[in-house]
Amino acid sequence: MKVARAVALAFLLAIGSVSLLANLLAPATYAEQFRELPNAPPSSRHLLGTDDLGRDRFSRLLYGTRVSLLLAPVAALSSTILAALIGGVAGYLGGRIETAAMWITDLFLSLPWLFLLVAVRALLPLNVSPQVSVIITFGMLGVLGWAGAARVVCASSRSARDSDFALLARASGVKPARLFARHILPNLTPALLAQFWISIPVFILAEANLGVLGLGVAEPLPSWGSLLRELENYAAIGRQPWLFVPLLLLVAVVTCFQLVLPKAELPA
Amino acid sequence: MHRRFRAVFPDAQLKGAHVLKRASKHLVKLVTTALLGGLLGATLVRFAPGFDVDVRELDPRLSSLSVEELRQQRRADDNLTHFYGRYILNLVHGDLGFSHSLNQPARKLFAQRLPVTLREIGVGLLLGWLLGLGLATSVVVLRAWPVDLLASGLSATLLSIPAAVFALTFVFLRAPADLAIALIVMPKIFSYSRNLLRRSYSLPHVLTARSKGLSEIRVFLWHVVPTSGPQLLALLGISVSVAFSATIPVEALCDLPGIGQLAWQAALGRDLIVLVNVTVLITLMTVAANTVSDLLAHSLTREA
Amino acid sequence: MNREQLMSEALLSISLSAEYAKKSVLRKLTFQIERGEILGLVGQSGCGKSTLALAILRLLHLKGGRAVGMIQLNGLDLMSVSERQMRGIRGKEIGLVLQSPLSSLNPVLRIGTQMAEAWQAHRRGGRQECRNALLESLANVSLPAEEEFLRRYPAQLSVGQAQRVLIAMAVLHRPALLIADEPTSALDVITQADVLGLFRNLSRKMGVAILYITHDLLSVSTIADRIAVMHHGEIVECSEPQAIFTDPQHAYTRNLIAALPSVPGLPTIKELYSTAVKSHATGRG
Repeated sequence: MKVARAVALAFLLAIGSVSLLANLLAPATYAEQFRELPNAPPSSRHLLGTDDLGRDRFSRLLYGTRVSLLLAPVAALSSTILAALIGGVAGYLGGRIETAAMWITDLFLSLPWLFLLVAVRALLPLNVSPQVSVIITFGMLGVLGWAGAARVVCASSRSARDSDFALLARASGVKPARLFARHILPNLTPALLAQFWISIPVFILAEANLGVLGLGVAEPLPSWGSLLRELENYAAIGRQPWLFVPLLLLVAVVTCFQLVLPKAELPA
Repeated sequence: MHRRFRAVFPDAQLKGAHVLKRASKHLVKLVTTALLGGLLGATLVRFAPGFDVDVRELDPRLSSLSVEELRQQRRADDNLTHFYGRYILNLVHGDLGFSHSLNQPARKLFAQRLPVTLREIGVGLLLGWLLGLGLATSVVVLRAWPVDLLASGLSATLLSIPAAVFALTFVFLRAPADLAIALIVMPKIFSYSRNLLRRSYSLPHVLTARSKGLSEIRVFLWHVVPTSGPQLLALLGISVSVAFSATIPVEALCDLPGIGQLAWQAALGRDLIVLVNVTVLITLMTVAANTVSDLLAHSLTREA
Repeated sequence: MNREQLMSEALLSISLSAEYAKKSVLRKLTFQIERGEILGLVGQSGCGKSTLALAILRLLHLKGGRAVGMIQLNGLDLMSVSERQMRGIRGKEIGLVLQSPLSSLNPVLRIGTQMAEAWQAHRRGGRQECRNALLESLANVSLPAEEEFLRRYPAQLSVGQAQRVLIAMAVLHRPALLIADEPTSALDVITQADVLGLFRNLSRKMGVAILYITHDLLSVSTIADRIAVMHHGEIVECSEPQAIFTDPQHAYTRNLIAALPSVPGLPTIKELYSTAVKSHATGRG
């Protein structure tokens, strides 16, 4: 299994670097329309052909990968930080604060966050720029996604606070804030890291779902979700199998993320 | 029969009171959660950028009078306290408001669409659980690494496919949408329960049971399952959440007249009333599911 | 094979190698146990003692290990029997007692249910017959032989009581061999002494041989007929306790003895044994 993990990690790094260099590697920009060549099959100039507006699919895939693959970790990072702060502090302080925080966490967990996501995204004004829509989409994911991790982090924080080394530190007169930063937080790192890795594929899939529903990143900026919309054309996919490439890439990347994860389960 | 009952629950009266107390605590939690959830959702929606602009105002076909009416309606919604107040009052009276986008009372929409969604989720969850738990059990009991590899590979792949793509596939294959929900739920149940069962199998009391010479079936049913029970029940609550989230893409793309499709259409039509009510409704159901599974789990664990 | 040969043959004869994921744990471990004998297997924690216990019962695959070699129980090679036959042997011919008594009992089943289960695995009989056998076995391990006790859950027992229940279950069918893997590690000293005494009494009364696996040389010496010292997956020395203490052959055994605690002012074990040997010798002569 170690081999599998190494291969997966290498693949992710490769795709990540390629997408970072989208500006250099893409033969065209994502919005550039080759009006004389709509729905063209793959050729040496257009590796994956063009879509019905004449845009080069390969370039759009590169840019779309950049959006989806690089912003999901950013959202995951912000949700992990939120979870660390809320869960960590709650578990450390204990008592009523912990109870209140866990109650709020439960509330967040009960909210149908896909419903909320759908709602907020749909209420964006028509003239919002694609960049802003991207920030808002992934921003919402980051803001709403902390609840799953917070419970686990709170429990870890509580057990770290009750542990012997924390007791020793307190017995030697360490101030609470310093105790939290120096002794508790480092012990939360494994749980936080696990949550970070779990969140990334979840957010990628969430964005993809929003995209297919037409509620994702605004045109003309591509993302994996919006690229998948082309699969709705059932008549075409039989004749144009290259339309599946974005889906295959998404599945491959998410599978790799799962392989790289430590053996983690759903937070209960 | 009564004697048997007393034998199993020697402190029946005490236990009954305990369960009631717990249930009522959960009920309070449920109601407050639902209300706050709805208000929170409404707040988020209200303060999202773009709330003030209504696409219909830009429609050149509407007369200036209609546009003014629309603007007035929006202004009424603008005042948040006014909105919340009106909302709660209406809720108490059973009036769930009127949907601008679909031109029907929200209550009627829910009444029509809820059964569709509930049936779909019911079938989807049942199938998903049967498949997921069944596969996990076979993998753990058989202990053959090819089976494990195959099942894990399948599960990982299914988990990597967005729900929307499942929906598209099922439309393409003209297959029932319940199956889509089942396939979305199944891999999560499989991986979680497989890990859970594996851990339960390596517990000392299972080893003791084996050393007594008991058959595999007996070891599984009487020693592995009871220890895994509570956590599997917790998973039940989570799987309900997952299933509900999946209804949006599945119903939207498979064209099923359920709550998920309603939410999607309301989002596209920027219908605040419907969105808030859908949020509250789904939150209520999810919290109820979690409550049931939590209570069941607690009744199964033996407290000294 | 005639009767004399059968009688003189050891109950259990082992020559075993075992490994976990390519890491060798037991290296052609060889020893024998006679009928009714208490053999103490002493070694450091993690040297493969528990591996041996599981291997004899052919349960090692559950922990991901593999064993090769020979395990002869009453002339029957356990390595070559089918799983079904092995299940007939587990609990009936060989009993197992593990450490951490409270986690070795199923928390959601009553004691009576778990014991009845052990009974019904190898006997067909009525409920009354089963009940009587269970109460008798409780009495054998000095537990209250009452219905009320059978209806308790493991969480309602003390650690010592739980261990006795496990022992009772293990000897329910009067097996020829009882394997006890660190059975007293989780107990306090007084309870430990009680349980040790219980093992000795059971052995005498039922004639069951005991393979007593432990890291505590001192406690097992009080009941063992012979002690086998295990080091790096092999038996390095095997003889009576007094020989081990007064005249250890192997370097590791010597280290073990030297590491035993000694109270200043009181004679060491070695000295006590030496005097005992001398007085016994003079008593004879």
